Amino acid sequence: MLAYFVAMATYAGFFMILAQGLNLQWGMTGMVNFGVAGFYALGAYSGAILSTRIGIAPELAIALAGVAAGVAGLVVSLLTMRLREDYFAIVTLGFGEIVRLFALNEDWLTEGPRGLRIPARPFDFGLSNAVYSLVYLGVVALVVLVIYAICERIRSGPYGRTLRAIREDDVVAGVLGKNVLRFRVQAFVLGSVFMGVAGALFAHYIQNISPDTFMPMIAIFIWMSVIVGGYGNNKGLLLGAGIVIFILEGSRFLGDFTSIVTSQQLSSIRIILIGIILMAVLRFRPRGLIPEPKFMSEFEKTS
Amino acid sequence: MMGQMIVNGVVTAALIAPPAVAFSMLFGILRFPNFAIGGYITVGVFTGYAANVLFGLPLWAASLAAMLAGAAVVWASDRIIFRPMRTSSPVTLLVVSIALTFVLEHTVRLVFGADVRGFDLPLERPLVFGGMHITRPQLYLMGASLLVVIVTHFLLTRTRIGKAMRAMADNSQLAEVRGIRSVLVRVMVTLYCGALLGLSGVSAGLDLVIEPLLGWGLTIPIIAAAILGGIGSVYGAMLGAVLVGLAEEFATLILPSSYKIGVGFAMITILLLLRPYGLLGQPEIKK
Amino acid sequence: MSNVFFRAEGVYSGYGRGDIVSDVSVAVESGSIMTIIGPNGAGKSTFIKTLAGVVQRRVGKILINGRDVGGLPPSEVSRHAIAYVPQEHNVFRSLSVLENLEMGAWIEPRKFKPRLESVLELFPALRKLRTVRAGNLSGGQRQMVAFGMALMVEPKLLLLDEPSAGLSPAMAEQMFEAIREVRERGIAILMVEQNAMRALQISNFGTVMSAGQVAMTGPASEILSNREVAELYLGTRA
Repeated sequence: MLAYFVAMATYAGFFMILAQGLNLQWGMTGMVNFGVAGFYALGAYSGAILSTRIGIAPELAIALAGVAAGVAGLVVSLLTMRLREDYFAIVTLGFGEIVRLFALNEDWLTEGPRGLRIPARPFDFGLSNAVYSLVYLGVVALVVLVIYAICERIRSGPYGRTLRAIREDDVVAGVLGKNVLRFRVQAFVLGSVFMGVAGALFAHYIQNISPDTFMPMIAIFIWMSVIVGGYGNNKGLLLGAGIVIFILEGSRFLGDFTSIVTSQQLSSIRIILIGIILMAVLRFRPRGLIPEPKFMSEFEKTS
Repeated sequence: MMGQMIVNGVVTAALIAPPAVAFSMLFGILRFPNFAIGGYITVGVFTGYAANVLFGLPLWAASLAAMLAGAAVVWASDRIIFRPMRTSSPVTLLVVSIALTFVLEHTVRLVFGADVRGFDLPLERPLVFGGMHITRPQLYLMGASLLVVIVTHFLLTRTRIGKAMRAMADNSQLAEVRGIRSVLVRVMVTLYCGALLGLSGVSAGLDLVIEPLLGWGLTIPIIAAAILGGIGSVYGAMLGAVLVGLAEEFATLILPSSYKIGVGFAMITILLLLRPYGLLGQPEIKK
Repeated sequence: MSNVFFRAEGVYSGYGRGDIVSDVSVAVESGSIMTIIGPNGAGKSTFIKTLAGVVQRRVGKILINGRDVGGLPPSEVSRHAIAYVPQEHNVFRSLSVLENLEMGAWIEPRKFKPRLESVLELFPALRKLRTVRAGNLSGGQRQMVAFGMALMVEPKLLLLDEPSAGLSPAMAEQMFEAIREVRERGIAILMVEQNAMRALQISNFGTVMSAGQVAMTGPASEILSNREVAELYLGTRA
């Protein structure tokens, strides 16, 4: 049972990192990234390939995976920064699908649908499995906290205010003399780095990844985390990610229940539940359960 | 070889043109890109499947049932979700529509399971015309698609309600000022587009295999076609469908066919880079 | 003011928090022209939008033949013989001229044919342009389509928001001519106009708005000859 809690908390950690990355991009600057799964997959595969095929130390591979996702974020954002937000959403979604297709088809590199095995264990000092899983959770938690600190600093500083000004109205922010494009690219790249790190941490944790793991559904889970938590709010989205993981994984506690429905039906029920909660939150509490601290007031009257 | 590729491309175009038209018409009235089209298509194909295989109805009756189910589910989702949320931002609605797609697809999966199925059709060899192969179901779907194009054109240019749909999409405030009730137009558009999407489900089930993720797999090429043609433009969507269909087919000359779905994306990305607002779109004025 | 059929009483409206229009009342006699003038930002345009139902009135009554249409959405206001022509975006750009006029007659489709004839009589230039998309027309032609669309329902009251805005002087003159002719057909007009002098010359009554309120109202000739108004809004000649 404890092992199960530890696993759940670790998963929640991956989602929290992803959600923080998305919050930086969308919650704070309004860039609608639907390609979360793509950046996550890119981080997972590049980290895994670096540590298994090239033999780099897994800790370094995880960091480099962040860099790889950041570079992809740079390219994607530079290409699409001028787009209207709904088109931006579609193109980033496309990026996610293309990464998945690449992983599926280029099996000389990724083992395709068979899945890529990752024997390398980072942060391993010859520990027993039970202790190792606790250590891994600790590492993930540390990363979550570091990223949280970075995001909080960004949010409360002048940089964060500019980012939110861009989100509310990029014309106004442009007039204010801020270099909108540069800020948006920076926020997007940093968010992508976080997602890449989350992917590589995930890959080395689960030790076996396949393209199926990175369906666009992931994007919805992460969006749900940010939205339910109250977008723009770093604390809220940690809670949001926890809720999503609880719905996705916590239903396993209903062990006996699975004799009535098959596991496949159960997974459908979970997704239906997530979808309905997401729609209900957006309809009835569009600012999330923990709304972002008031910043809007000076912009509210413009519309 | 070349001829066969054109035939395949045209079949794909015929498959995605009706839903691309529906997507564009819905955008004109709802003012956001409704990603739930995939879910609507899945509901359509499984209704058709149930009617055809489980209840033994002929394909035309199953198509009709699929159209009714499509109309009902699009109307209901608008009534329950999108209409009450019409003042939300397009991005919020976009997220909601993606969530809705997953809810619809997984509801279908819950009921029917994830197995791959097919319509109850006699097995027969593809027909051969001058060396080019085409199956009878593909001919059906091309016929249905052509009919949809003709009926839609007639609706939009010859009927009062169709002209009101165009007027509402063009300038909703002016339409209201002239006495057109927006709810009436909205209901008619959702019913019509729902019927098109239900029918598209049956067409997709004829050409591909029937499974719950069928709709999601088609979402990308459909939206690519609609954007290529200029989102909101019905005739543009038809043109965009032909472009996407042929491009996907010809891309297999240089790419493995498993990358097909990426082709539509590559096309819209390139197009949007050259023209950030689509082929026929206009820059939006920020308030 | 014997045959007043339209009356706005104590109307307040605006966007967001504040009121842009506060406590405005006007009365329109049947078959007459009333022009509202005033400086930019006086709330003229918001007021006329409120009468059309495009902006919701917060307080006050909007009475036509004794019935209060305040609070109704624009699609319902238009069913009470009130037709509004917005200043901008006043045609369906992707529809042909003929289709635009057809949409004008939306609430009374049976009367489309005879009304089309009478609108084409008023604006003969549109006759040749019937199949042209409204988005491809010149500004003056577009204004005719917008005006014609509103006349397709033979309203009792026509609300015009800056009918001469953006038009060449010759074209503007043609619009004022058309407005006069419409009055001859027994349709009352309430308009907001920047070209105050010219508008008042063809009007029966005038109202001066300033800072969201009525500063003065009366026969057009009185407004025209008022020294203060002349200095402020008409250019110095009195």
